Amino acid sequence: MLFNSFDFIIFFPIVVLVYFLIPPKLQRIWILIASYYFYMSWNPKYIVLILFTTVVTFIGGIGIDILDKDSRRRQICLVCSISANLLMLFFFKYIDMMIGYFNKVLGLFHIGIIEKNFCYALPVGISFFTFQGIGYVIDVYRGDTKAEKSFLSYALFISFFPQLVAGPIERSKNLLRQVNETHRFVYDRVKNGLLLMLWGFFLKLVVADRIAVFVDAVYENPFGNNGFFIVIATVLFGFQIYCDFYGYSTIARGGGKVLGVELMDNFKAPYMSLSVTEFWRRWHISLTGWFRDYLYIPLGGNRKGKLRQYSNLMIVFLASGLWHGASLSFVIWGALNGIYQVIGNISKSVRYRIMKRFQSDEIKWEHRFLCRLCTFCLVDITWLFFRAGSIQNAVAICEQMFGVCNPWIFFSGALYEIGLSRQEFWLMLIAIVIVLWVDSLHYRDIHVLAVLEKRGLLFRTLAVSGLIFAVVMLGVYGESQDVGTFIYFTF
Amino acid sequence: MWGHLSILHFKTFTKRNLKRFAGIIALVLVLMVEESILEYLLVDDDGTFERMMMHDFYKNTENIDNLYLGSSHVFCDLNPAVLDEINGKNNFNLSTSAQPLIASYYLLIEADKNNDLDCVYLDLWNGLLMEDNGIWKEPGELLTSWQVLDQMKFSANKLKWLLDSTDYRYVYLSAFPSIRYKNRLLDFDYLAEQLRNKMKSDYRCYNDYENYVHKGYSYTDHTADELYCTTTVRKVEKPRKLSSTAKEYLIKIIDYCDKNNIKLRLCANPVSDWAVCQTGDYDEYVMQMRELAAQYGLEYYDFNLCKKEYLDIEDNTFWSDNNHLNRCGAELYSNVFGTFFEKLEKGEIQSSDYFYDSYQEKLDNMEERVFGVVVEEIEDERRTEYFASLSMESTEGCRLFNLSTIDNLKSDGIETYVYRVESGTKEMSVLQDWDENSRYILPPSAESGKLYIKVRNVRTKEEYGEVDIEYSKD
Repeated sequence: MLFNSFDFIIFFPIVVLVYFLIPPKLQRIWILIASYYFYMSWNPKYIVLILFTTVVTFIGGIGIDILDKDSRRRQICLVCSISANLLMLFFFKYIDMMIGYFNKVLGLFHIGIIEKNFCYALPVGISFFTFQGIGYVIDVYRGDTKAEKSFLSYALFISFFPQLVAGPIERSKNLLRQVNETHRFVYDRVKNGLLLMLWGFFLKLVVADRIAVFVDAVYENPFGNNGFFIVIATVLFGFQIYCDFYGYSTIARGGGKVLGVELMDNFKAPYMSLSVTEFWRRWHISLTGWFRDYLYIPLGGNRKGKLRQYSNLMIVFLASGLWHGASLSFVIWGALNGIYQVIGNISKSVRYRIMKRFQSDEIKWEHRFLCRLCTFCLVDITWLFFRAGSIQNAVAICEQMFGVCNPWIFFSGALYEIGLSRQEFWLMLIAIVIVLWVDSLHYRDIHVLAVLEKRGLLFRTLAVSGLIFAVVMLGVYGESQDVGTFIYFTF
Repeated sequence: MWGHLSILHFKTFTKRNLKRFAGIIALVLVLMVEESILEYLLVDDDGTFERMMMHDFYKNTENIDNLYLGSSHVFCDLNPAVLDEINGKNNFNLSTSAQPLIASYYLLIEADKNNDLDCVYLDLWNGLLMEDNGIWKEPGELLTSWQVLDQMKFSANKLKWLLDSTDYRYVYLSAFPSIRYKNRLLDFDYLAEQLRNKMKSDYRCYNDYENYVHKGYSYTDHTADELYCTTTVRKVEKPRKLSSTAKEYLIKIIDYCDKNNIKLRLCANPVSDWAVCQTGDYDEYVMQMRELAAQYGLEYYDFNLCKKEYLDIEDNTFWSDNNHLNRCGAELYSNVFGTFFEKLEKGEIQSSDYFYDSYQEKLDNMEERVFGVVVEEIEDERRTEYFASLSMESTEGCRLFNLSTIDNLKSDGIETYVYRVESGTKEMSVLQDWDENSRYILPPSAESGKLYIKVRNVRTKEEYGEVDIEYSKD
């Protein structure tokens, strides 16, 4: 069930209504049932995978908690819990890729290839809930959190439906505590939750799915739409993936808020970042934080010299690339991001000297603008590999991008012949400007919701009705369009 | 002191809740205004029959005695003014284009709310009732219902129809016309044109459908061609069953009329013999309807089975197309229809006096005729087989057509003469001289133009007429 499907529009109000009508004791059971139903609407069989992660990490957590701190069995318990989840993830997500590469190697030696005799679809959200479960057992092992004794609460922590299939990857300290609480109807909280969801729908339906029409058309036919078409599509894809994922996260946060659960903010105006390092502190915060806490720091972080810090950075970003998908293009995407950070770190003093020479400083808007532009360009280049899906595609797209120079497309109207009409194209640009404006406020820790709250009734009413109008009337959905799935559902 | 505090608390609580309530009401009001403006701009109902008819229906102050429900066959074929004169009652056509029985049911309830209905005449056109005609719950099929729903005043009945007629996934499309047509929002030329049209006095005064007369009657003076011709074979060979949805709502209508003491007449208005024959075994349909009517103590009156001495509309001058009568035909038919039921009411006649037992019986009693020509392009394996049987050097680019007729010829066969005229030229190329052969080949040189087909009786050489169809390589 997609957030932008009609089924969810029916499902969610029913869940909320029943949630606040039933006795508080039953709230957790109700949300658990709703969460499992939500997940099973894709493929009922895959509920087994969630149950597997839940049971393994729940037992693992209790085992770690009751065993002696210095006991070796405690470590075994941790390793078993993590390995079981990673094996499941490997089997469902990476086995195709591994068999493919293995066969290539065997082919070099003229040895018979391995045939895969089973076929299945990638379970939705598998990377998210396995990482959430793994994070929990590590937290228990470190003593950062107590093992959860209630299976019901723990099952809900793993499967809480607003964030089940595309995050944010929640931490036990934040979500587990909240699922154990009872929640009564609080008007302002529910209202704010619904407004957040509305903003999420705007990001997804009005911005991301409209951009997708153009980007898909270009990337599906790079030979016909080459040169600047690909440049524009690649720039736009940067905004598409942001609004798509940010949209999902915002709907998830809003949905959680309505139910009384505060989920973490997964994005904090990433395209306002002044460097790639800052970008990664603001983009997919829950995953970046996960890798920082459970991989980068245990590897030594930046405590064991520069060389080790750089290799740790590369490991983390390669792992992050692999987490996104079983394809070499994702690995390259991760590697590029890692390289950016390493180079950024190494060149810090040089950049500082250049800045001094040109008498620039970080306060000046020109400097900040240039930094933002550079950061966006660097990040956007990596999105090309992300969107291309494979190395061959990425190479072909690069060839077509740099092989043809056709700047006249900006004036000839050719841009409006690729999926979006002139009006649609300009609407898309205006929507992007709105998103960037909201982000610029967010960057300065000004929240639009809070600003809205301070204004008069008329202003608030017009603003909210305007947003509803935009989502309902300008959103890309309905009969003539396929319901666009969220990009991060495939990870 | 505590009392004072609690009153204060109560006051604060009430004030806060009132503010919230005011906020919600303000939002709903703004959204309603938004929806109205968008509906005005996006829904293209300028010059539609349904808008005129529903307006006429709601402004009607006189009690409606006889209500006519059904598809376009009703509003094209029956003139309530003629019926008023015959039966001395107030007759009203609440029929709409391709009206499914679910729409008939809810329109019946709508009419019964403010009128003391005496009799309901329900048109049962087989084209809408058979099992392979969809379930009428998908957007493409709902268009005809939306045309009426959009013009209906808001009521519980409208809401029930809306929910009942639409699959749950599309309820929002039925409920909010603006969302249905949201893709038009960025088409500024369309919006400007809508605005221009809707500002005109004709639109505002409900005078924008020139052929609309009064009380749900619309006429046309167009006369149909002599022979009908089609490029796709639409003749249904196997007998079809009444769809479960149609049956469900037919029974609902019967029950409703029964409970509310409204007389119900199940009838079928006439279509051309070409159209009747196209539907395959029409008698199978008639039998199903008669059986169903009999189960509920009713009779089924099918005017396609009407004897020529009562209703003679075989001539093309009575038709606007193969399904609808023109004004001349409607005048004649309304008289026959009204007189028949008037006499039946008074017990002066039996229905068997007017109708044949079966359509086949009618065909047998008719003068021998060719009703129409079906031209089908053959693209399957029959094409290969046919070309293999010919010793042609090359068949590349050739198109093969099969020609058949819909007729009631008893023993004599027909022969055809086929020629073409290429676009931009006046030159005639004969594809087939008078022959009984039913297959002919369009050569690769034929880019686009018109095919002319003459049909005549093999024995008597009497020509039945000539039809033309366009051809194009695309």
